[in-house]
Amino acid sequence: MCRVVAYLGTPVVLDDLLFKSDSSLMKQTYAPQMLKLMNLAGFGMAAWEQNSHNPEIPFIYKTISVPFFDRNLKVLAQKLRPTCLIAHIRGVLYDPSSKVNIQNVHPFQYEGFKLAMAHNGDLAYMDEMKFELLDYIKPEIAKKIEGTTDSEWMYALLMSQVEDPTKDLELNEILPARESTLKILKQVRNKQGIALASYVNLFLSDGNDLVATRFTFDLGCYEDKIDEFELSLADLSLWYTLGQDYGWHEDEWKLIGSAANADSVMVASEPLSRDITNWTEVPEYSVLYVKSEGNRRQVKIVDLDI
Amino acid sequence: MNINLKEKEEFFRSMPLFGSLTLSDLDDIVLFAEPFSVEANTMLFRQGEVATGMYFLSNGQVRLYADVPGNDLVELGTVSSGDIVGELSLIDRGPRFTYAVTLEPTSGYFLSNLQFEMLRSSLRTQALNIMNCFRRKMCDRTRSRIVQIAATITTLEGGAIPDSGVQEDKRQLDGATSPLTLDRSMLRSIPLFRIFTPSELEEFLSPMQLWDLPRGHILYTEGSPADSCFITVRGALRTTVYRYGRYEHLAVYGPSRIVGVLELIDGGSRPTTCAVREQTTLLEMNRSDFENLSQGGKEINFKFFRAINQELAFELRKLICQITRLACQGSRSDGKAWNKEA
Repeated sequence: MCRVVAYLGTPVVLDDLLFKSDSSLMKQTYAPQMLKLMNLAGFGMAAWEQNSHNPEIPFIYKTISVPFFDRNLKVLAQKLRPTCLIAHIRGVLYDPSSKVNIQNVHPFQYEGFKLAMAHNGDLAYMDEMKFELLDYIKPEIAKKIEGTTDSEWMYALLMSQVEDPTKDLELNEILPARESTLKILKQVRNKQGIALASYVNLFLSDGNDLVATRFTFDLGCYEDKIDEFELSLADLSLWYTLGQDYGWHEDEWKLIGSAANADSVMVASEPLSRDITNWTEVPEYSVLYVKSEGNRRQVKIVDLDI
Repeated sequence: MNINLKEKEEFFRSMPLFGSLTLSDLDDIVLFAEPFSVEANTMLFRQGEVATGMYFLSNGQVRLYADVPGNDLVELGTVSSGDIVGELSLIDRGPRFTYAVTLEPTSGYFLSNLQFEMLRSSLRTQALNIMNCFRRKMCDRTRSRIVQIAATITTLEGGAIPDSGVQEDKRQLDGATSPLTLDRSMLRSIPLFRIFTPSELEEFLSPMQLWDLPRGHILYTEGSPADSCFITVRGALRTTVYRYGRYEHLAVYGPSRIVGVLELIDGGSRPTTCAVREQTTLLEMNRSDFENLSQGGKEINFKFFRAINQELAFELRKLICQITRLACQGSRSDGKAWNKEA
C-alpha cells in the first residue's frame, strides 16, 4: 500500500509539504501512522509551479531509491513553490514477484495529457482483468502503458473515458470519467467473479482541479482469513484539511485562516502531523473534489454509489 | 461521619447517571473521586491530548468544542451540573476528541485515569454496575450526535431526491445457518474473536445465527424496534440517517465490528438505517443472548462487555468526526462556530 499527498492552493515551499512536519510524507515512508506497512518501492511527484516555464506542465520527479536519503529531492524541494502537487510513495507487500522500477512509480501522466493520477490501493487479480480491460482502453492509449501496475492500467482506462485527454479538462469531465472507470472495473470484476477487497483511493489533478476518491470494491471480503496487516478490516484512510497559508503556526504545521475563506486544500492518505485535530476524514465510498471560485476553494464530498 | 465524604455520597447518589445504583455500588467512585473547583473560562482538557481523567459536575457548565480544518472551532454541546465530561477518552484509551471549557465557575469531582482503570479492570459487581452507567451515557451521547447529524439534512439542497444509496435487494434470503460451520482459523484471524479462548469462542458462537446477505439487503430501518445485534465476519455494512428523502452517511462496518448494540443497551428504537454495502457474512445475536453475555461473572462476559464498550466509543468518535466534517463543509446544526484567530 502507498501514501499520497495532494495539494491545491497558494504557493507553498515543497520542502514544507514533503519533509518538515512530524508525520511528513517522507516520514510515512518508514513510519506511517495509519498503515502497518512501510512504503519503500519508490517516490514520485507532479508539481505545478506558476513561475516556471510552461507552468501548465508540472515538474515530474521519480525515483526508486528511498526518498528521505535523496539529496537531489531535498534540494529541489527547498526551491520549488508549487500551487498544485501530487506526491506519492509506493508501498508493495513483500512478494518476490513485485516489480520495483521507475516505470511503476506514480503519479502517471502520459506525454501531452493534462491529468496526472496517483493511486493508493491494490486491485485483486489485476493480471486476469487486463485483457478484458483492453476492450475499454483506446488503442493509442494502451500503447503508452509501460509498467506493470494496476494503477497505470487504471490511469489508461480513465484517460480513455474522456474525449480528449490532451486538453485542459473541467471538473464536469473529470468526475464522470472517474465514475465510468470505477463502473467498468466493477463490471469486469463481476464478470470474472472477482470478489476480494480492492482499494481504489485515487488522486487526480491537472494543476487547476483536484479530485480524490475513497473507495473499495468488496470491502471486508478476504480470501481465507484476515492478513497479518489487517488490511481487509477497513478501507484505506483519506483525510483533508483546508484554509490558508500552510506553515508553522502555533507550534504545528497546518493551514489556518478559516474554512470559509480557504484558498488552499490538502488531501492525503493520512494527516501530515501527529496532531490530527486540524484534519478531517473523508467518508468511505465518496469522492472529494475542490471547487475553485476565484481565489476561494471549497471542498465538496459526494457519495459514490457504485 | 466525615462531612466531605457525606457530601460526596449525596452528590453521587443524586446524579441521574447513577440513578439505578445503590450506595454500595458507588463505594469505589466515592472513595476515589477527588473534589475540583475552577474559574470560568478554564480549559479542562484540550483536543488531541492524552486523557488524565473525567469530571463529574456538581455546579457550573462546560462547553465542548472541536477543531475543524482551517483553524476553526465548532461547538458540540454543553454539559451541566449533574452530568459527566471526559469519559470517552478513558473508555477507549484514545486522545481527547474535544476541547472542554468552563462557561462559569465550575466544581465537582475528578476521577483520574488510573482510578478509572482500576474500576474498568475490576471484576466486582459494583464496578461493573458503574461501567454499565458509563456505557448508557455513551448511548445517550451517540443518539444525540446522530440527531445532530440528521439536523444537517435540509430540504434546501437542489436536485433530485436520492434513493437509499444502496438499492434494496428483495430476493428471498437463504435461511440462517449455524456458526459452527465457520472455519475457526479464519475466525481467529479476526480481532474480535481473537480475544476469546477456544472454549470461550464456542460458547460465544453457539447461540448465534449465521447469515449470508447480498448487497442491498436492509438489516433494520431507523425507528424500528431492536431485538438483535450483528457481528460482521466478512463484507461490510453501512449505516445512514434519512430526512426529507435524503440521507447522510454515518459509518461503514467491516469485519470484526458489532452493529446495532446501542439499542439493546438502552432499550430504544433503532436510531439509524443499516444496509449491506458488500456481500456480507454476519452473526446475529438476539437480545436475550446479548443480555446474558453482557452480565455474569465469567471471563467471557467481561471480555464481551469490554468489546462492546470499545465498539460504542469507536462509533461515537466516528460520529463526532462526521459532525466536524459537516461543519467544515458549512452544514452546522449545533450553533456557533468561529475561527480561533478571530
